[in-house]
Amino acid sequence: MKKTIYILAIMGLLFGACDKIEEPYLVETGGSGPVPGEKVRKVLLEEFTGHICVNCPEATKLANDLKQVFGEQLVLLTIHAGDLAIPDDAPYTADYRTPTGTSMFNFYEPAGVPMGMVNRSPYQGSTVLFKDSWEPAIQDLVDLPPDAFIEIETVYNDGSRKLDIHVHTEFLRDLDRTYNLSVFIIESGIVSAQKNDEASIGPKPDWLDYEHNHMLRKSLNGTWGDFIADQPASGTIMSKDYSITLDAEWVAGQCGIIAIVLDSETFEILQVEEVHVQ
Amino acid sequence: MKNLIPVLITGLTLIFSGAQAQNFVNNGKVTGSFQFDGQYYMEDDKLGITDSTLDGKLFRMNGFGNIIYTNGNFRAGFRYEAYLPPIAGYNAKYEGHGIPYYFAEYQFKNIQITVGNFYEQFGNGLVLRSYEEWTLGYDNSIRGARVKIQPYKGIALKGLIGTQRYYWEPYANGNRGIVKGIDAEFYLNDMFNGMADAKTKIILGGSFVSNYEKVKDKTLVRDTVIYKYVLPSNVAAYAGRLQLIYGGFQFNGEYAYKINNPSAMNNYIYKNGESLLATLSYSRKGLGISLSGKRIDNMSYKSRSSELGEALDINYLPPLTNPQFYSLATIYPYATQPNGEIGIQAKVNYTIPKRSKLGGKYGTRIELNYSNIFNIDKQPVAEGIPVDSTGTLGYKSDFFAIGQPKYFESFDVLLNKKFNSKFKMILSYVYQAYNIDVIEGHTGEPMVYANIAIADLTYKFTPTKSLRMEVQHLFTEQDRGDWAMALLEFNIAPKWFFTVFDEYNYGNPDKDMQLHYYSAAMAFVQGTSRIALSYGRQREGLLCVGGVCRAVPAANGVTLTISSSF
Repeated sequence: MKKTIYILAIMGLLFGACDKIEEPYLVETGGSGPVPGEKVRKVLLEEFTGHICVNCPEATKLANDLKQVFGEQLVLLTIHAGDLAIPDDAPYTADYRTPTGTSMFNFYEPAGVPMGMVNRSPYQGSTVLFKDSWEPAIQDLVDLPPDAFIEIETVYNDGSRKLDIHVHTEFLRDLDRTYNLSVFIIESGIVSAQKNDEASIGPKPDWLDYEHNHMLRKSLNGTWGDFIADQPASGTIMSKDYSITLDAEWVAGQCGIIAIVLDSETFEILQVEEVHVQ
Repeated sequence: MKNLIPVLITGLTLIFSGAQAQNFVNNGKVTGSFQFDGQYYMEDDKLGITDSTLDGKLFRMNGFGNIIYTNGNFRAGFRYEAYLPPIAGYNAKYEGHGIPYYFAEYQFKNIQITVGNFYEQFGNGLVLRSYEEWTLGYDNSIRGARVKIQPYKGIALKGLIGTQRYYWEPYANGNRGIVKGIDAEFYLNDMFNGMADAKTKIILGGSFVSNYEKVKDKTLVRDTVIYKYVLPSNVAAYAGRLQLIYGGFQFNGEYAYKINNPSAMNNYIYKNGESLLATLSYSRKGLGISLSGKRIDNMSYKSRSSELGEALDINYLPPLTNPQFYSLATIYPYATQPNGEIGIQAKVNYTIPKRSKLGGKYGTRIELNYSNIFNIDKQPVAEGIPVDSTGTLGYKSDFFAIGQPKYFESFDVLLNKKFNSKFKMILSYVYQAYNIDVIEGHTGEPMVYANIAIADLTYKFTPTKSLRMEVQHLFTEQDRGDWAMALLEFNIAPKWFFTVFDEYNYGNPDKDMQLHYYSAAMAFVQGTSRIALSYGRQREGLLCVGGVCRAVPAANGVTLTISSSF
């Protein structure tokens, strides 16, 4: 019996690990951002969503909170795709799906919505992540030195609604793969109905004046973009020009442009930049 | 794997190089099993399956091969798995193939040592259970080391350390927790000579489990202020259990406790978790009665706090519901709610004796089951703080209070009667109340009340040829409405089986979805090998085993299953 007690005592010592947390469970922390003009890595959070997805408003709120935490280093993109984005009975008649969004949805096969991707990079074995993995996935990437820097210039004609976009990509170190550039038009401030299951953030089950933001409207160069560089050396600058006439139903003042530099084969994102159209 | 292969090759070379090689080969025994499940998918407009949704993946397969070598006190083995790509409804993260499971085990007197992968359960599993369920695509095996010791008669100790399987992702850089655990079991009647002949048998047990996780910063924005969660790196759980046996009576009870474990599963609340499971049963020839009670409070315990999916469970919370086998009775299966549930189950199995008035020549078996499960009572921790608020204690809960809503209720009765050497009949009635809002996440949908009637008739033409017929009907005014089902199965024992069946959702409120889910199947069995081929539609739903579930999408196509063992 003594032997048993000794064994149990030794095992207990080996395994007796337990952290009891006492209040306060939350401690206030100050946000910090990059020095203005500093070339930093920016991270793209792409959220698959749909207007009849009851859990999506809560996930979108989290994305907005993360934007507050990470500031300019986080760019948000909302992609309406999948069964829960299909137009339904009033008031859910809007169709915010896009060919690009559907193509990405079919490619990444999220288990459902809301789910999201952080730079389309795998985090703990998954590329498409439940919302609780978004923040740690962003943390893993946001402090890495940037591989590229993107500058976007725009010229918008209010009368013709023609938008000219010039994207300059500077590679900041020698890279050994091939890279594409994707350019998306997004729109914010779109008010329409959204299903909701979380009363603490808005009306449920129907949030009739829900504001949809960062919504993917169109890609200017396909789902995966245009080729821009093969094994670029540090200092290489590639420029690309695009033009589009904004769709009549889009509000120019609420539209933005997102440019993404991505690996041509894995589609993982190296850098992202966002500007307003106006 | 990279490290394992040279070690295995070196080890086997050394073994085979000497005189011992002869013994290693001659005295060894190799056993194994194999299974291939392949599905070819077809478009089906009515089910919403189009070329776009199939996305070119017309053929999908899951398969495994187990090889185990045994030589005296030594065992070693591995399992090869392939998901190319995984069958619809299985997690896409399984796509790929390789050897996720390998082990070597040695028994020396009263010590057994296992290295590599292993499955283990402490008690009822409330604080630790690693297991594999092929039909669910569930595997949380532990890779590490395990030691089992019997230091004294009647005492069994176990200790383990390792990391859990997460699809194909190897453990690296703290991408999941390290699980450590000990368990002790004491058979008092074996330990103390004075109790050896006692009528009452007593078994005591206790477990302690701890998970170390390299936690990352997690922030919360509340009223424009940014906060950081104070998260524990080590989360421990412990449990105590008692089993009493007296004649036909048996009591089995276990209580488990888990310290603060803020996680994605519980919305990052800091309340301690606890669980109680108790079963009192009585059995004698022809009669079995059991009464069970269970309370679960914040007991999801995973080896990664941000995990929301079905993987990385350290513990297992057994359900108090009757497993269903007839197809319409499986439409509304119960999934255990780890964040809180309280319930009871009562079961009676009785065989009316042979040659009695009601029992007839062969006896008649009656099975009754009643289950009723509710949410636990949850009250705010303070005024103005909603229940389950993140970054708080979450809620207060009276241990014995029953909360709302009801999650599940069922009453089943089954009558199994053999009339003569040719004809037997099973009749069953199942009532279910099913909270589809909570269990399947169909927000706002009302409770489903279903009544299911089942008749299963078998007629033997000859000792080897028989025809089985099932007729089932599910009545409900909620969800997808009424269903009818009929099945015919012709058996030429022991080699051939032919089945046709149709499930017809004629009561679906959406006329376009009043569909037939027809299927035809045949199977051939030879020895331990079985080949089955089927064609038909598969309805959308949940597949649950032991309270753990996976979503099954609607499908149409051909399925081939080959299984074998040696």
